[in-house]
Amino acid sequence: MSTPSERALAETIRDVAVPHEVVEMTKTSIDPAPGQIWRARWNSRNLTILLITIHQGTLDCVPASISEPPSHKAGTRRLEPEDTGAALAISIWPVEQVALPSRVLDVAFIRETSALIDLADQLRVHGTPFHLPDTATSREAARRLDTIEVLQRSEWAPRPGRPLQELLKVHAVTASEVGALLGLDAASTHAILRGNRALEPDQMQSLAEATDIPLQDLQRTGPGLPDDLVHQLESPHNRHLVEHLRATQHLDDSEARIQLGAAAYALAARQTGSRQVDWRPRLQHALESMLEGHQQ
Amino acid sequence: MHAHEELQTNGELGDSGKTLLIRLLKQLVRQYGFPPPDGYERWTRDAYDEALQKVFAARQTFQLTLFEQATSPASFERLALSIMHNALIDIDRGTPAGRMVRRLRNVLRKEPALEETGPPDHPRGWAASGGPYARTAKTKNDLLRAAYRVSGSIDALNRSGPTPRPIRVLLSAVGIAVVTEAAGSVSESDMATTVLNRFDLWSEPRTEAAASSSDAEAIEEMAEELWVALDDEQRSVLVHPDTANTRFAHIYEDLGRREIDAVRAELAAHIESVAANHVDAEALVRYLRSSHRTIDERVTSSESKTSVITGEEGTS
Repeated sequence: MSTPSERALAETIRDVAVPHEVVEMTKTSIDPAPGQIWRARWNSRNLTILLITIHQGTLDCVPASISEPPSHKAGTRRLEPEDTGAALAISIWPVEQVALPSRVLDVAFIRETSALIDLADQLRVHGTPFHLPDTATSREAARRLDTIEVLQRSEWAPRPGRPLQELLKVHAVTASEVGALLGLDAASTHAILRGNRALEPDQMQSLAEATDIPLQDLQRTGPGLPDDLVHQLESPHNRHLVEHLRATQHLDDSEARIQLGAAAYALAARQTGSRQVDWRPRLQHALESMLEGHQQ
Repeated sequence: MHAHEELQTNGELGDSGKTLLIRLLKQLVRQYGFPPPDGYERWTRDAYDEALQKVFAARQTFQLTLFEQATSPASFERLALSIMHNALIDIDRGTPAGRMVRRLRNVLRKEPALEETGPPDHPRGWAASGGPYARTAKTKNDLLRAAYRVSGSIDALNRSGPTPRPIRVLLSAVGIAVVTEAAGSVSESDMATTVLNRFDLWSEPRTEAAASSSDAEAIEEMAEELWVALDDEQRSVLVHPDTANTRFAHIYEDLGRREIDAVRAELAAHIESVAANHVDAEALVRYLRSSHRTIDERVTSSESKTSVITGEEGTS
């Protein structure tokens, strides 16, 4: 039986529960659109944002927050639920309009309403380019700017990759040694060396174990991943797959995408022999295989 | 299910969340020596529940911030610790009793006739050097009568800076009289309320009094008071680069360049205002940088050995 103080604490927690529609929104996969409130994230840094314009591979936004207490801090604009139709009050920093790569989108908190779409329109029309200053007026502003910088610099896939031939030269490994190690004929070996064909994940592993070439360097060789696969790996719809790999294998955002991409690409090549594939189910399948292989 | 997943799934913390927050709260109490809430002599389960309620009251967006910003169990715990720590600092500084407990720690620790008691063997409080240590059976009125047997008055307490020498002497005399009457140990909060009642300091008339005659003493007292009031990011910036073998190295590495500069500027202004006309601010900073490990150990309760607390502090 709970004590009075336990019951009082439970009631306090219940009184400040996150609105149901916000909780459900985070479990829903939607296409990004102006007027929405999302969390953007790269590794350990994250920032809530209001989307203004969606481009190909990038988006314009302003920093936002759904948990900022009411204040009169300079540069902050507060939007109450009655102003926006959203379930929560939203604070935004309208001057700090920046462009971010779409790959940083993590989860959506609030779907667009007509008021939020109008607001995004106003910000788009009247916004001026914001250049990140070197200093900030407060610790909170400094954290926000530092996080924007991290998000803007997020990078993971060198496309195309470095030719394997170059890497072998640096580590004094010959083509015939590679062919023998991987059980490949001369034609296949040369296709890989020239960058016309990618090493499969298990081939990379074997090569890394037998030579002093770091696995991460091998993962960055080859023709690179197809654009449509990269697009899927950067889509918020597939972020949960990347997150799962990150969490279970203790990888950073960059490594998780590289490994998942390489695995999906190798899987597709084995299964269809073609690059014209539907990458979404391949990514799921690749993740399952990787996790299974890790457990064995 | 970890508290992080619980909150993401349900939008509110349940059993896992409450258990985790209580555990983190206990960690903060051990690390920073926060006194229990008013009305509690020691950190019982009810005291923790009430303290957690005060945290929620002081930080109304606490749960929402965790939902918005925590992206993993580890980040959930780090963020919860940071928010709770800052809330406890504000709560502690906000009450006359909390401020008096801190002042008495600084003053009475230097009194040879008194001994600070603490877990795991005893509840946190004061006793005569050498004991006895059992909690006193005397009433609060008994303790107050003993305090009144010490003559002297305190018209006002200094708003900032170390406790002036005449007041230190008087507080020490009262402390000795109280533990002598107690014939046992007296809790920190009872000692603090006895002093507040004896000198009628609840409304805390304040004055800008002069510093104590010894600058070294003043710096030592102010350093501890300042250190306790800083959060971990501020501490990591203050002591950088001497962060080897401390948790501050990791904290400092996580800060961005602008945030480091902002914290540094914030610290400089804060230290200047604390030092004011009492001590040299640079001397205070030098002392903190050279002695932060010692201060940390002194502030941290000796109950770090106690890791399982089911009902009352120190029990398992």
